[in-house]
Amino acid sequence: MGDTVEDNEIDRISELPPFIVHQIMSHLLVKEVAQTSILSKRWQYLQRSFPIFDFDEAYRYFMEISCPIFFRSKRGRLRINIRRFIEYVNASLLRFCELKFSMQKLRILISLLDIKESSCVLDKWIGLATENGVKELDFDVRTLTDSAYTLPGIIFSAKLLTTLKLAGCKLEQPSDTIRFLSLKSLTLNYVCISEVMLQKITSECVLLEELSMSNCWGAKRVHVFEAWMLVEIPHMKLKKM
Amino acid sequence: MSTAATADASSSGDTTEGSVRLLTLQSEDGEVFEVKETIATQSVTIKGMVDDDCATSTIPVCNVTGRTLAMVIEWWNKHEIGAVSNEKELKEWESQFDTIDDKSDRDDVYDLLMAANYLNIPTLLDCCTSAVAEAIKGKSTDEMREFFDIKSDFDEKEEDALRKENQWAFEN
Repeated sequence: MGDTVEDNEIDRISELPPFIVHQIMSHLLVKEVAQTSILSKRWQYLQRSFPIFDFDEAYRYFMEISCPIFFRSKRGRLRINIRRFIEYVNASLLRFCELKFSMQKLRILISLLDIKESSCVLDKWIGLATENGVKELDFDVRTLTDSAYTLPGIIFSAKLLTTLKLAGCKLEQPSDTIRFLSLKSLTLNYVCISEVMLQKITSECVLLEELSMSNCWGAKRVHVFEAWMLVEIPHMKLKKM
Repeated sequence: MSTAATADASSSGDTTEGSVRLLTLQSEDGEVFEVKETIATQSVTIKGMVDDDCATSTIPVCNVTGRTLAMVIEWWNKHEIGAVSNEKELKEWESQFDTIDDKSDRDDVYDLLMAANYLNIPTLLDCCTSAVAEAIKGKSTDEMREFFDIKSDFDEKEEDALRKENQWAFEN
């Protein structure tokens, strides 16, 4: 504040249009993007307004911190790491949404010890992404138990969503109509989905070009009709229940 | 009488060389370049002008110096279909743009970024943003500030708080 640094050099990088800085950030690792936030207030803003969220990679870093040595404390450490990760994701998403920019991509990989406890947080994240016009959504939920996380109905109102990738979730039939007006690609892995629901998606998502399913359960047969653009079902593998 | 010497430079931008139309581009500092339309339309901005029939006279390229514009034209020439026989050769040639060794390289990349933005040249924009990203990688916060001349306007307390908030990103 008080220091008088003599510097004739001009900071041109900070003056670049934000979308160019964001394009620069898109070439960096999640970790490296987070590091830029402490460069200056301008960079803090640029980092917070970066519309691509990859909490999949960030999750790895969180889990790497303080690797447990004793088995007894493993679950406890895991619980703390997951909680810290959830808090971080939560804070980042809320700050971004305050800016009212549209979200390009949200990718989350998370392990949960207790689905009941955490599902409202995940619901909130999907709600925020949907409200902010997310285009790519990639949700991978891993649990230690057999139960799967049920996706909230609000996901079906993501009108701008073009790519949806789900793993370890349950996709239940919504009470409302499906409004995936832009959905082109749908990938389901370890997803519980009923025949009726599959039918609904393939017939109501008019732009759907690619449907990929592996290790899914809940449906014995797949009838794909009225889906004129549907061109590829690469890994069709249905697990019987 | 020196009219003959100047006639060439002041001629209309709508000239042709064989069957290829030439466009005249003028940099901010007054340098004039004649470029084949097929090459210059790698710029989405110029392509729009051509499509709208607005490229018949000299096209002013604001905020771009002659030196930078020359580099942009070199980029276009190399990226013209058929100019380079294979992808590997093109990548090798591009490497002069995508590595930043010192502050002078850095400033060239800034200039190219601004030109790529103004002229809307996606391939050049991507190459230059990737170059800056490479220069960021592996640098500590202080090294980054030094190299890019970024002045921190955080006080110590604020910086510590932020570092703590993003602790995971600074470990290992």
